[in-house]
Amino acid sequence: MTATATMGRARLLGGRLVIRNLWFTLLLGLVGFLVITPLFLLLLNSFDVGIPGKEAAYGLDAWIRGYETPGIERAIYNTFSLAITRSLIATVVGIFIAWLLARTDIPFKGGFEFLFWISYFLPALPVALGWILLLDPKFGLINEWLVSLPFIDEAPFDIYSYWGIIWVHLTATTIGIRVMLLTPAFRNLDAALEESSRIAGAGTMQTLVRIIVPIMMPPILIATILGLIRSLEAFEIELILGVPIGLDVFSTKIYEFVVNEPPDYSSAAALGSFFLVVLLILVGLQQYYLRGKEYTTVTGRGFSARPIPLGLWKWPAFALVLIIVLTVTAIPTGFVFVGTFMQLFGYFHIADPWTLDNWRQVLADPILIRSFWNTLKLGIGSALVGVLFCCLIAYVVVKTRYAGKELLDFLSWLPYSIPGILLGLALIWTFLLIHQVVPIYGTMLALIIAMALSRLPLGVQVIKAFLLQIGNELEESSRVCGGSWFYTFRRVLFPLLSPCLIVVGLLIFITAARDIGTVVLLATGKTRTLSLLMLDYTVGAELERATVVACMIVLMVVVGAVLARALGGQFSIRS
Amino acid sequence: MASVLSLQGVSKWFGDVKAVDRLSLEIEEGSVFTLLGPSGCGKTTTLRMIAGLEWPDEGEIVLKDRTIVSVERGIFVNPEKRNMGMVFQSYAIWPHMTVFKNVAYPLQLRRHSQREIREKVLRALELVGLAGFEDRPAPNLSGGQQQRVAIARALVYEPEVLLLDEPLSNLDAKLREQMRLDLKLLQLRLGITVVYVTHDQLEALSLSDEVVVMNHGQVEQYGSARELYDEASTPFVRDFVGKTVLLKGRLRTVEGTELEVALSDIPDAVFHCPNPGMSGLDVGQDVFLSVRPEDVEVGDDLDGRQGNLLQGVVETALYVGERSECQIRVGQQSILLYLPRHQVVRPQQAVSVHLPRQAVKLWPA
Amino acid sequence: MRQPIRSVFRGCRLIGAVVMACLLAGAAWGPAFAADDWKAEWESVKAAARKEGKLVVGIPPNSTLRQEIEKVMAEKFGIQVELVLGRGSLLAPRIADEFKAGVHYFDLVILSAQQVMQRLRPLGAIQPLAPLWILPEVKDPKQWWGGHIFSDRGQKFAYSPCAYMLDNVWYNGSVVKQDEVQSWDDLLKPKFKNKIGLFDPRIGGAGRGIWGFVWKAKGEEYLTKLAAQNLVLGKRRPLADQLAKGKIDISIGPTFYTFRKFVKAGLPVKPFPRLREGSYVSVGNGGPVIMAKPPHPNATKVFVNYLLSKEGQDMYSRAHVQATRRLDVDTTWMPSFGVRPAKDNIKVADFHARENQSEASLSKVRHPALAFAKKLFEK
Repeated sequence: MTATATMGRARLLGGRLVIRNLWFTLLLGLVGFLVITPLFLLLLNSFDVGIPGKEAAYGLDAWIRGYETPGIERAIYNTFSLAITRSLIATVVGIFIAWLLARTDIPFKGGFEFLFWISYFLPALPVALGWILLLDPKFGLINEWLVSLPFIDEAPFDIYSYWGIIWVHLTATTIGIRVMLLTPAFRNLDAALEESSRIAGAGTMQTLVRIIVPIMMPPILIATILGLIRSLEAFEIELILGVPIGLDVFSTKIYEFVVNEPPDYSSAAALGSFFLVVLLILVGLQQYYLRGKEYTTVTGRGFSARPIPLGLWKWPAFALVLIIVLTVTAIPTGFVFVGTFMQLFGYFHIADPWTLDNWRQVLADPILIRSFWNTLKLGIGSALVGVLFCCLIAYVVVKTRYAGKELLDFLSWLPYSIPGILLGLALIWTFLLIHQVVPIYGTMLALIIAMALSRLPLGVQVIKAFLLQIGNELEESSRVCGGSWFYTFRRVLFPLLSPCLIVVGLLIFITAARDIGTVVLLATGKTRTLSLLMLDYTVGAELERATVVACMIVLMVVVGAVLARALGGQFSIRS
Repeated sequence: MASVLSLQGVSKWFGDVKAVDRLSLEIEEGSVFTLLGPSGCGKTTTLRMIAGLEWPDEGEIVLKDRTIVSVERGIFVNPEKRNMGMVFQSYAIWPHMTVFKNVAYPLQLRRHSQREIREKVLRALELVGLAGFEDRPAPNLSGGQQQRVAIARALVYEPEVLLLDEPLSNLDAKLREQMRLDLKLLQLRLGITVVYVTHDQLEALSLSDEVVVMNHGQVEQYGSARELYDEASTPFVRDFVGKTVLLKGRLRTVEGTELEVALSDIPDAVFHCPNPGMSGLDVGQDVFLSVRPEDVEVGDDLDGRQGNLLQGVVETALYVGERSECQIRVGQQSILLYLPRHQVVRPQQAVSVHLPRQAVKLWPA
Repeated sequence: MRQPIRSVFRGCRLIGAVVMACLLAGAAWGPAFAADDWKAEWESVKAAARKEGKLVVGIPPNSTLRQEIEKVMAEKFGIQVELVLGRGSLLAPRIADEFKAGVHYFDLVILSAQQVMQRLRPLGAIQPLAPLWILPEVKDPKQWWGGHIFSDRGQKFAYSPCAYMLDNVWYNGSVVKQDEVQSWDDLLKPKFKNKIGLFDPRIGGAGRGIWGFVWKAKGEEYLTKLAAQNLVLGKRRPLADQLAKGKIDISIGPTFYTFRKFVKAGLPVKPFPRLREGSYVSVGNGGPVIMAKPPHPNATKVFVNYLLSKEGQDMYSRAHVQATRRLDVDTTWMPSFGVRPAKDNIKVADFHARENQSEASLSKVRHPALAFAKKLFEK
């Protein structure tokens, strides 16, 4: 019997299945090539001990150099300690806020959600500088004010500290991204699931912890793992706040190898491979945890999105979220925007602190318009390409029985195993490698692919978690009543996914608009973006003008977000 | 009547489990054809293969004169090209659309004109009794209403075959009864071919023209509802369709058309029943006597009856309205019997139990 | 179908060969007419460049310089310049990688000797500069302070059009008096413990220049003592910030370039005018380095000649605030921008003694100094 069945399958393989699988395999091949090649080239480079221009020679020198850097053990410890601490805090806070915004009758929820988006869009560097201005142990405005009060003799806050770094990270991005990713997922929760728990006698908070969090595990895990990996790789804020007090993290060590002249990319890559190991472990754990469980929440049956009345807690909850939102948006935004009107960022006491020159000079720069259009092209291009591919990959992984789908899923994680500062380098090598066959090096397309690729793990995993929530029958019913796969995707899946696609698209957009490390290596004079203009100003000791450009990027993304929300509102689930 | 849908030797594996095992079916045009069986028997898989949602591993499916699946010839027609309608167990109502849009969807993709769409959708909604609901967001409806939307959506484009996957299983008892009637009337009115999957034998018997009982991916028996109930050909069907009282015994004599069985539990109890001409029944063999509970007579005084009598004691008597359901101990066994609603028995009461000769069937043990 | 296409292609090649031959002939004829006929050559190169219409140049990240070059090249020569801004350490490896992959995107890059020698020369990715010179004012060594100075040993690739000195040691005037520090030795005073910031020499740039100078002038023993003052290591802007706020009293490394806005804002940051040991001489970001296969050879020539002309050097000095060696360019305004042009201040011999960016000095001064910095700061 088995024999005939296998033969039957084999025969079917000779027909339609092959064609379908061929497309999937093509996708697998493309993704595999694009993610493995950079990784491979980096690893290869880490073993290259030859002198440039001479014959290649291979050895472990770079690895030894890298891992024998003084203080590397301490840096690894700091990295994990910082990343895990803030990931945990952010996940707990993020779940709570996402639940309040998505599932309760808290007032102004749409506005709050949008403000959290904005908090994520704000550039980390000016935000960090803003917090330094407030919490510097010697000059911080808050510290100064507190010391002027009776009974407080000593500055209570020191931004240059372990908790200072965590604080700035939390307010700059870590909480914002959690809310961004989790709120749409929480909205897909059937109120009946909550109600049944309430009827069974569980309180609201108990329901959240016992019922909602377990059901929401795929998005929560994904958001946490994505956030954790990004936290492990973060270095900008650590560089400003940690390095001066001798608090090094792993990524600042990699950073030093890359920026110090002459750059030692081999050692940087050797160190960077550490993230590959961490990633493999995290992804393995996540897949082990989620295996064999059902997480469908959007079925074709009754779907009630009735918000939970908070009752007496409505206004206290509102106040709490308001305080958090103001902390993560108003204060940083204030400093970022106010900073652009200052002669010298943060110097309020000088004779003539305010000026319009920064804006005037940037607006007068002839390259501004071109950079703006390039950024817009790059942002929209990579958002579209990224969302399309992430969507396809996530779909194949979640909704088909394609044999290679687990491999595809795994491959989609890999770009996160390369630290951001090395990704650009790895991609430039990749594009150069294929240049004779696919001459896209130096074009906008190369940049678009690079940016989409850099956020592939986020896109695929977030969409995947979202797709897991959507029952198969919604698609199947469309197929049976005559809709082709594409029609079904367009009319059924796309609208249901749209809140999540918008978030992913915006995240890719902001990444592309803000990226410097990769763009600086791949851009040409023709494809220059606003972020490179920002870099020019930064290097040219024009921090204030750089901030003007940063603000323009934020404005651009905010406008994009408003449009996307208006557009997305037409689709979402009706209640 | 002509066969509209035929399955020939269709199989489906899930890993090492053969969910459907060389299944062959002929479904007649305009009939209600039911796949009945316990969960995991392969009935839903079969329906999904008909719809095109699963790829069979072997076999052929022919719709009218068109082969829509043939593993041997590498043919597979996509679900959207089969012109079928399907109502899913969970309705599969699209939560981001209104009722109108849900029902209009199949027409929109068939590029009907706006006016035509509006007309047809409203007519379909009226047909399922949902006139006036068209602008409601679909997720806001009750279960029964959603199911009607699903049916309207499956009917609105007049498919050749309507596939129903346990459409009533999520409804409460009263609604289920109502919908069962509605469905039958609707089907009669439209004359559409329906393939119906259920594990509920009541639904199956009441709706169907023809029923196939499935078990382990294979057909156990098929026939009309009455045939299945009265003339179960396998023990599985006998037990799955309706209730059965089973008594263990040994075949004593075969005399022409008359069989004589002695019960194992109860000494001296001898039963007679007609010889169904079943092969493989030898004298001295262990057998089961089976009888439908509602055919059994229970009373204080059944002396008028000719043999086939047992003495028992009432253990429990549950009055359920249209009848009483009694557990009666006979020998060491307790059997469930149905008594007419007027007949009153009390626990511990001694009663006589009569198994009418024509109602008793014999099965090899 | 294929045949005609191939023959057309062959035809093109033929025409190309004829044109090449003509060009070669022209080049061969050139020297015969040389002396006065540079004008004809200049005009023909300009015309050919205009036809090419495009040029790709890598320059240091400076928005003023970018705007000036784009404007001048478009208005004066009808050439659209695609400028790629980036530090040499970023552009050179990229160009090397491109060259290895057979991509020829850049025409020329402004680079210092270090990058040229490390990344590009070993690959054969660049060509000598002098053969591209057409204008007599560029060719003539007498126009240049110290003649033609190349930073590479072979005197071919890494031209150094600039030479100047910077104030690298600044102090906060509200805490430190100018006469408190007259020589580098004064920085070892106990009162400056924890109060001196240093532009981390391991990062590169100006920090490494000053470090190399002190290493050479004062020796490793001195640097060990200086490091014992608990130097605050950092980058330019944070150091400037800390100095302005009085967190540190003295900063080593950041220059006027970084302090410009602080000075303008009236904050009490000032340079020590001249320490007893003097200062090193910088050649800034270096000069134009020409790719071996520039995609726009004529535009490249035009750009090189323009950049090294009086007008070009004036533009470059003003836009990038790095002082030229051209004697006919006025640089007397530069000290008020913290730059002391070498030609107005020191002797040529001093330049050669104090620069540390040439290939020879790199191996003799900067590299050992860097190794020592790593030893000192990486514990």
